[in-house]
Amino acid sequence: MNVLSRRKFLRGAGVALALPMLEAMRPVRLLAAAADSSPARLVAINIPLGFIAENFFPQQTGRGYTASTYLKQGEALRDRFTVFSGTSHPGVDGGHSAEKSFLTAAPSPGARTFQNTISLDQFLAEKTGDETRFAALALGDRTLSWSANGVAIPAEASPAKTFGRLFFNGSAGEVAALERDLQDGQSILDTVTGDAKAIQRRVGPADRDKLDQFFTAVRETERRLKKNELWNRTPKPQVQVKPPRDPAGADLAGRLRAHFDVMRLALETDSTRLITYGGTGYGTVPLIPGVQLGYHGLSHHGKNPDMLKQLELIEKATIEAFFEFLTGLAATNNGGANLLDRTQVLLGSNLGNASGHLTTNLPILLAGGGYKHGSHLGFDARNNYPLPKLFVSMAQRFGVEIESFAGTAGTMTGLE
Amino acid sequence: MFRRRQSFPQIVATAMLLFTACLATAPDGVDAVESPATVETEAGPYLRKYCVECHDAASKSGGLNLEQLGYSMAGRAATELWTRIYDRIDRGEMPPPDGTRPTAAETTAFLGTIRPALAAADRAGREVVQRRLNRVEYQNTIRDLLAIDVDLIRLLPEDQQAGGFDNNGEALAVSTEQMQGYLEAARRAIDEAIVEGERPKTETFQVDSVRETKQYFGQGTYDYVDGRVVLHTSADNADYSKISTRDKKVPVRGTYRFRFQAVAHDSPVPLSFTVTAALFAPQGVSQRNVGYFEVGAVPQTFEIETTMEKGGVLQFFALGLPTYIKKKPDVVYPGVGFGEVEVTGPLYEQWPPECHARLLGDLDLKTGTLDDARAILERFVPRAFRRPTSEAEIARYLDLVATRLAAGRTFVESIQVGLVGVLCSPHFLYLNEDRLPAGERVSDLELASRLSYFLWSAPPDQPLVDLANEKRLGSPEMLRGQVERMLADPKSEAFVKNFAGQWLRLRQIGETVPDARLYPKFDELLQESMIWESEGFFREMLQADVSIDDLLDSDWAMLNERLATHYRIEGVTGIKLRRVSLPKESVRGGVLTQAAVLKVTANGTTTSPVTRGVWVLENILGRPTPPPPPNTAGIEPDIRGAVTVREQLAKHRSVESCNVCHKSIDPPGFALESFDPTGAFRETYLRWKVTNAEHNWGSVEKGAAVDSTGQTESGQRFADIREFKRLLLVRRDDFARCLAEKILAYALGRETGFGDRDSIAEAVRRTRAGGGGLRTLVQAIVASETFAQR
Repeated sequence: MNVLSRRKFLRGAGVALALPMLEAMRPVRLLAAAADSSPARLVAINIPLGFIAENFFPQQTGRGYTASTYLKQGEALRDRFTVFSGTSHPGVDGGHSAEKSFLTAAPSPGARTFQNTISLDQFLAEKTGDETRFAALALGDRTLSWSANGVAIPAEASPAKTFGRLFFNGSAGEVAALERDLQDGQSILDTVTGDAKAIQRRVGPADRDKLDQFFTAVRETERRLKKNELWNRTPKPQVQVKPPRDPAGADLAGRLRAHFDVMRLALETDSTRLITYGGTGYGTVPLIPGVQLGYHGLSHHGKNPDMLKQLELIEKATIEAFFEFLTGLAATNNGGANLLDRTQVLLGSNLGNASGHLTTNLPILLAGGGYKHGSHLGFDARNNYPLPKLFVSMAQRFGVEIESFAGTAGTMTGLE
Repeated sequence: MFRRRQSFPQIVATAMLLFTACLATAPDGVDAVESPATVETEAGPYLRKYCVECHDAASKSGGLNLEQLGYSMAGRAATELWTRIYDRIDRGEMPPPDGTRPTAAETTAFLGTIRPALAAADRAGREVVQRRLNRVEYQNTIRDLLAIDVDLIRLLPEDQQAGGFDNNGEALAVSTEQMQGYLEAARRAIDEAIVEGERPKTETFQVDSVRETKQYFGQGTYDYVDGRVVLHTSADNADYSKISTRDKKVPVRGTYRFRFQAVAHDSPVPLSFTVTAALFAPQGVSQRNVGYFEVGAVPQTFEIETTMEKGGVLQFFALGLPTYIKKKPDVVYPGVGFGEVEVTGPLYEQWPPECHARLLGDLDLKTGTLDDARAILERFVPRAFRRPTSEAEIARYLDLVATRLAAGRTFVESIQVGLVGVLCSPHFLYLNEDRLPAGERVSDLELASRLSYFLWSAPPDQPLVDLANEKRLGSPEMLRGQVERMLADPKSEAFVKNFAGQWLRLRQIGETVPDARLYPKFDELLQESMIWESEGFFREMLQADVSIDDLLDSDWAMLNERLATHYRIEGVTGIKLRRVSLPKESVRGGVLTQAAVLKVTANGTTTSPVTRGVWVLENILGRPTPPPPPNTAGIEPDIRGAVTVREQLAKHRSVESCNVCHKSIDPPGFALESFDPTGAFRETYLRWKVTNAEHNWGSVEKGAAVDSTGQTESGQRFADIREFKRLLLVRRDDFARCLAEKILAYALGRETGFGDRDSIAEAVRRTRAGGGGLRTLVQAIVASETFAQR
């Protein structure tokens, strides 16, 4: 047996964590089958104000549909994605609040007592996150990622900062200082656990829940620091790219592109296999010629033709940047495969119609990931098809065999 | 029969969905209080006679199956459902008018049977849970504990709201990101508090903006007059200004004093400007506002003292000027002249600074020992935990220091790890309250924390702690005196900002941008002034103990010139907010017609009577509206003109299932239609008419006349907002309850429920008896039984 079992190796080292893959540990079988050495990745993108339905959905279903205004921009990639209509998350209402449930499918996000559940990326990260430096990345102006106990995971809004986290190595002194900090952090958390245990003896059931949450967070943080300590000793990958600068807040398309560029690099260097991107939309007048009004205001167009026209300019710019991102992935060779084929990219919105705050008939598009693409899968616009089924399919494709997501069982019909 | 089935239930149906969602997460066995057997024997016959016909297992009208419900009210789902049943019967909405009706006496008896059982069940499920500090409280707690001024909020994930407030214990969960944030924030704080080495030299230098601006002098945007760079344009919310101290950045982090002259040119009125402290990094700019100012034609010297990051600069922005100037000869353009800036710093009141001395005394860090560390922790830990601590607790953190020292780390590094550890302890992060049976009073120390986090969003100060230690805090006179003292302290601004800011949703002011073509006068200064107005109004009510009825309608307002112009009120000059008597028959007065409230309840370009109506019901009348029932498409707004919103809503109200809620939602919304998305009064709608689609040219056109008439749920007609507010005053008791409930929820960090109703009613009664002022209400809430109870 020439191939060291990774798990065994790690146990031997007294660490229940994965390390960067060393060549000696790579199974021979994998080395032979080059395509397999490019692991499965997943990206989920939410555009919170959605898309004008008539411009997004093709009229015909099945293969060979006539591309809609927006999809026309990705005509060259037609066979690399599937578009879905007539889908939504069961019980997810609440207008803008539905953003919280886009990747979690937790019902009633607008309710006073709403408690979110785990998002798809974080769920998958629990299973596979130890393999890469970052278990998952949450990017954008608004987060899509939620932990198992329904806590929002802050998203990084700056592409420049993400780039730094991914690729800047500190000086030797900084690395050593960071290692000390990480070790100190673990000792601190040990001590804190002792302190919390002392409280535990004095509290009732409701508080015990709170304390359990605290213990879980501390334990998980310790684990993460331990993992960071190991990765800290491994130099970060180097990329031949100039570090990005952050485009201005109102430069919507520029910001999208900057994020997408860093995302592609993160996937390519296998720094992470899971990325969420929560788009923007509130409070700016996007810097796009012809757009004079705030994005959020425009989304409440009330069918006003002038407003619709401006909104269309914004949405076109968004879709264009998205298709560029796909093209970039398709042009990237990764372990013998093409990166897009190894990356499932979900584009969607928590709103089917932002003007009326409707959370049904969501615009949904899935690209890459090696599916048989090229179709428009149309479902019932009145009785929507449950979207969590797509998440089940995506999880399985990612390599995590689940039967159901957020209480909905089964995979997506028609997606192979 | 059919009609009957539709009306009740649409609401309950939605409510049921929500309850089912909660049921799954409700903690089990929280002192489950079972209803006494008498509830079943006494209330059962009523339900069977009047309700079960529709709400039986077969028809389950509105999803309510009374046959399955049972009489246990324990657990949140059951409590909330029973509360709903109680309220609908109490309001006479159920049983429906066309069915068999119980007599008034029967209903009174029925409600009387339910009430105590429901209140007991609710109280048992609503204890104050261990709640962690939210990030504002965290920041303030560190500020008071360590005497440092450093922004830690951005290091922590955003807190979730529940029941409208972000200090709700149930919503304040702890995650891995949160924990990592605490670790980072604590490091940052301790790092800031401990200084090493010599006192950095305080220096004074001059800096001007000529280098960046001189090439543009005389072209329109910039001029140079009397040694000052004159700026003729405004750029709202911009992150870069060529007028800055960029040419000499501050050398180290610290407090700096900036002195400069400014003057208004060619303007009959004083001009306003704002100053920001900015840090330019490769990742982009981070910027903090340090003030809004105004200046007239006579040069005036301004002085700003603020904390700066290393490499930080001040930037200057003129307000209210055109964004672009195409210079024409012989035309004078107003502008603000900014002179050379004199920078002095870093400034220290003492060395080592207060924060360092407080933590470490005059210890020589080079020779520090484990014994020194023990003394430091013995001083620090009780203050951090807001209570006396045990030897074992100190030992735990001392051990962290000892291990580091033993491993050869320096004293400073070692003590830092210990101190950071203390700030990551649950005793620091959580408002610890010992487990007590429901209904028992909390200890004096816990009461001190409740008070201070309620009114200051900060830890108790020494006088409070001393009183608590002497067990003297609990008496009504002492509490009253302390509340007065605390409200007089500038720290009570936290209550204004955090309570009013969330109740009135002021924090969302920037979420939409009004259409600059329709509302060209809207600018940054107006938006800022809106917040100042609403906060100022609340502050004035609190400080002067003004009757809470004034929140509904008042004959005064808090205005500055910018707002007064916006409201078309004359005689107010200057940027400073002050109390102004409103003209008779003014549409302003009260919170409803404040521009901030009108803006956050609008969509930016359009207004929706539904959004505003829901806001009034929830925040003024205390009747939150359930979301529209599932599977009904909401109305898709169509503002092209063929159908007005009003016509659309009228159609809507003709559907019984919609009308159940919309008959109360729409009327307040109609009254508020008189206000555009910027909060200005309007008689007609405005719209943008495109005249040249290719070039995107167009003009503003008057649309339909605004119709602000309506009829309340109970049938009273109103012609406009003034009459509507008078009708609202009739329901002042509903409002008083609503406000009291919100303040209590904020004060306790938990949602209120059926079990709190007596306490709230009592607080309202005492408030009315004491003159009805807002301060009196705060006092009455602190004096209420619930406030001091677990």
